[in-house]
Amino acid sequence: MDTPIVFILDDERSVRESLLALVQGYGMDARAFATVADFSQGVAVGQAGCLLCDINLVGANGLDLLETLAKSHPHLAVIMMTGHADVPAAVRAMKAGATDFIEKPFSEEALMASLVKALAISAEKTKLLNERSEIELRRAGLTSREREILDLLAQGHPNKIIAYKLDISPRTVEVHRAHIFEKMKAHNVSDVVRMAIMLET
Amino acid sequence: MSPERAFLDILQNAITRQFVDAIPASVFVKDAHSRFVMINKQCEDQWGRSFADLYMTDGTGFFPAEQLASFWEQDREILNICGQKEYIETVWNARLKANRTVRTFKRAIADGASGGTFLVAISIDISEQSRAEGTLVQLDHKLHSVMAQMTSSLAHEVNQPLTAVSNWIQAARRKLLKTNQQPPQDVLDYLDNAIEQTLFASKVVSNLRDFVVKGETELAPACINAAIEESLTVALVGAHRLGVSLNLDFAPDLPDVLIDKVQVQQVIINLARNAIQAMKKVNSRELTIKTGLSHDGRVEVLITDTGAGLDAEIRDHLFQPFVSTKAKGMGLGLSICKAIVESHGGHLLAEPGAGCGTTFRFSLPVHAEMINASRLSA
Repeated sequence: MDTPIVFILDDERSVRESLLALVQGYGMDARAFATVADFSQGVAVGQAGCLLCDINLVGANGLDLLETLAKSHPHLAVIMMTGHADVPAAVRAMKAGATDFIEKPFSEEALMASLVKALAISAEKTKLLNERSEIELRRAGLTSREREILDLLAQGHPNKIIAYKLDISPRTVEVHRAHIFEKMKAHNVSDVVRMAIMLET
Repeated sequence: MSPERAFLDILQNAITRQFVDAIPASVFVKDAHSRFVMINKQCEDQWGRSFADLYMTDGTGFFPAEQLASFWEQDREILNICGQKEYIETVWNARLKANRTVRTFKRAIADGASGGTFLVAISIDISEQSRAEGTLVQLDHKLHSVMAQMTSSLAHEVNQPLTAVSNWIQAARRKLLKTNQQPPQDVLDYLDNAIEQTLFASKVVSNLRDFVVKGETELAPACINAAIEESLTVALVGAHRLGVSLNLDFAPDLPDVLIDKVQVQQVIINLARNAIQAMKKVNSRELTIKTGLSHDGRVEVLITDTGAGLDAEIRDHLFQPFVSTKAKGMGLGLSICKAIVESHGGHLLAEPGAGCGTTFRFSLPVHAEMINASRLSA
């Protein structure tokens, strides 16, 4: 799952196959699908990479697919392929979360630039998502009291206030704090705050 | 007897009556106070009123008040200027029990001696004609929307295979570079040309679609000679094989033109290809493309062949859609060329060439800043 894959989704066979040959020619791992259903079966959850998707798929709207994908496959970056400059459609695609759109037919340079950009975005997304699930995992390893203290720490409260709020001694808070830092792999309070923000988003 | 009285007598003369009743239109005469002094048979028939009813009345009670007001206003205007005018209006027809569209000519008659003035009117029912015109306009709109749809779906259908072609060529080029340490440069050039032309073809289709669907053009300053040279690679496909010799007669130092370059190149390609085809059956094959300034300060392009020339019959319908001299032609090429040239404010004309053959001529607007610049330098 670490190697990014370029997924191609176009119901026109000639476009799909030629695009597959072209992207594979770049030495990239590429797969092509004719329908949304085939694509959904062919892509693993958590897969990094990008999807080159035609905006006018038969029986499916490329824009609806974008919204679904944002939830089901957040690691993927999506490039919309439009026919003749359909600016309103392209604008809607970008608003719906596409990283780029390219107009058919495209030059090699245009496709390459768009793919490089999309894969970089996917890599960035993947890094963030992995980090986030790692932090979630660490947080799950805390006791309920530790989680309580973590939340108060993230809100910026000093030890004494936390002790007062929870009706425990500051010394006990310090001990919990040491355990939290260790389990969360945090070096200081700002690490904890950063992790809390990441979990919220 | 007053001249006024004499005129009224003439109107009531039996022969005059027979004469005006025979006219297949509504004829009526009014005096200076808009009172009817004569109406013919057809008036009686269409208004559902007898002459006796209307005689010496201004029509009050016989016509709707708002119609009368507008009639009187017309009458006053005609009498004031002592001239004539034509009106197209809607009037109620009593016999048909329907509103009709009529064209009415009103003319003042000055009765010299007394200065008394009458007004003669002839009114013709043009309802059928205007309905037919309306239908024609509707048909025109319909045809345009059908054309727009056709072009739109054609553009899409053509664009998909073009995308595939360009992808395949680019994939082949990449594979060639990967497997062959030093692939022949000319082969790489051929592939690059093929990709470039595929992208150009797509741009042509896309522009055509925008043009037909939205009537849009992207105007930018361009050098016409350079634009022609660029389009020659496409225009001259097959020309060499036919032994066509090319004669470029470009005027130097032409001002830049303000054009949609791709569209104008499409016109040039189309005209040049037609010219080459027109010379298939003749022995001397020479294609001349000439540029220059026209007398009205526009840049002119002339494309001349040495073919057999055009039949007068064909020439009249040359620019109409779906008219073609080619067995398999759609007949859209020249009508599109004409539309493009006209959207640039010019005309596309076909004229007999100097000796034989045909010259297609069109003009393009000069970029305004260039005009100012040349004025300043002058």
